[in-house]
Amino acid sequence: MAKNEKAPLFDRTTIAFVLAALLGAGLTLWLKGTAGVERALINAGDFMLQVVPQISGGLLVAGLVQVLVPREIVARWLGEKSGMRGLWIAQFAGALTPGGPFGSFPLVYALGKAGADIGVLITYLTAWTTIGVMRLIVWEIPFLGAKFSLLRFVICLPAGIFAGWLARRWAKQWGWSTTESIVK
Amino acid sequence: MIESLIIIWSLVLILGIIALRRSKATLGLAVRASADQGRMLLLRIPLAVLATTFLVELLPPELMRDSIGAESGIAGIMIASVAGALLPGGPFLSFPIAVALFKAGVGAPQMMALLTAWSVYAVHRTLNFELPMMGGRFILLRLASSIMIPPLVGIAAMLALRWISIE
Repeated sequence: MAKNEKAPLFDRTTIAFVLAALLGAGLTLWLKGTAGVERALINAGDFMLQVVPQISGGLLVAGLVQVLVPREIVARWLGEKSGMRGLWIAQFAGALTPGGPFGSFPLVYALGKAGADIGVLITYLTAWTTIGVMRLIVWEIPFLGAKFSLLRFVICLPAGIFAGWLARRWAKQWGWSTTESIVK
Repeated sequence: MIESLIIIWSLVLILGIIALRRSKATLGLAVRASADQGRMLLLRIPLAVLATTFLVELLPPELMRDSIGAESGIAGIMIASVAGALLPGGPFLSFPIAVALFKAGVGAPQMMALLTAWSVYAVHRTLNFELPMMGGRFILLRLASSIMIPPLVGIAAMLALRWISIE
């Protein structure tokens, strides 16, 4: 979800959500009566009050990081390094990369074509998906709370390095000796 | 909840000062990037929360508790990993769903496996971005290296929660 052109406020996804909410309301009314609908509305309102101050802060953090850490810096970090050191750097870069797949995959593709180490790329993507700090701050902490989110974060810390190390072994075993032969 | 607010807004403050020291324009750019993102979420988040709140009213709690509840153990973690892989859409949908499932009685280790599977496997992302861009070999290699991560995360959480509490 990187910077994109102004998306329309009412796109197809939003309309699908409206329909889902209406369907849910209808079914609840039918099965649980007005008391059920009332309970759900109060719960949803309560929850929004909790989440909105946190999400607004999270979005500001994401915007700030996006501007302060441009993708060229990430590319330079990942480009030439290999060995265990390369995996560690990829781990940090992945954890700190903001945004969604629109931004990250072109970067990984370009680096793969340029011959970056496959373990580095897999570690980067796995760290980005498991311990992405932006997702933690914008989404996980506001919705699920700090304690839950931080425990999951700590447990996931080894995942990126582990996956990259494993990817190198698989690539060797399957005879894919260069990254160019793996990236299409 | 208060600690989450403090963590997030302290970060805003620190990063904001760093950006401001660079230049006023940098700060403006960052605020604009945040606002662009927020605009899209303005309708989506309330709608997703509303839809998933109704979902909780409708889901039979016994079913959730038995399949992926706190007592469901490793079997529940495996089920949660598969469910997470199939969860569609971006974070604006999956996190409200996660909260709804939590209220319906899903266990914390199962929830961690589910969320990790959602982000590592991400069937929708893999098919829409990764396959066309990176090709089949890359995906095969990535999955072969990370397919075990979500269940392992769930199991590690189950063990960790014997010693610490996140209530």
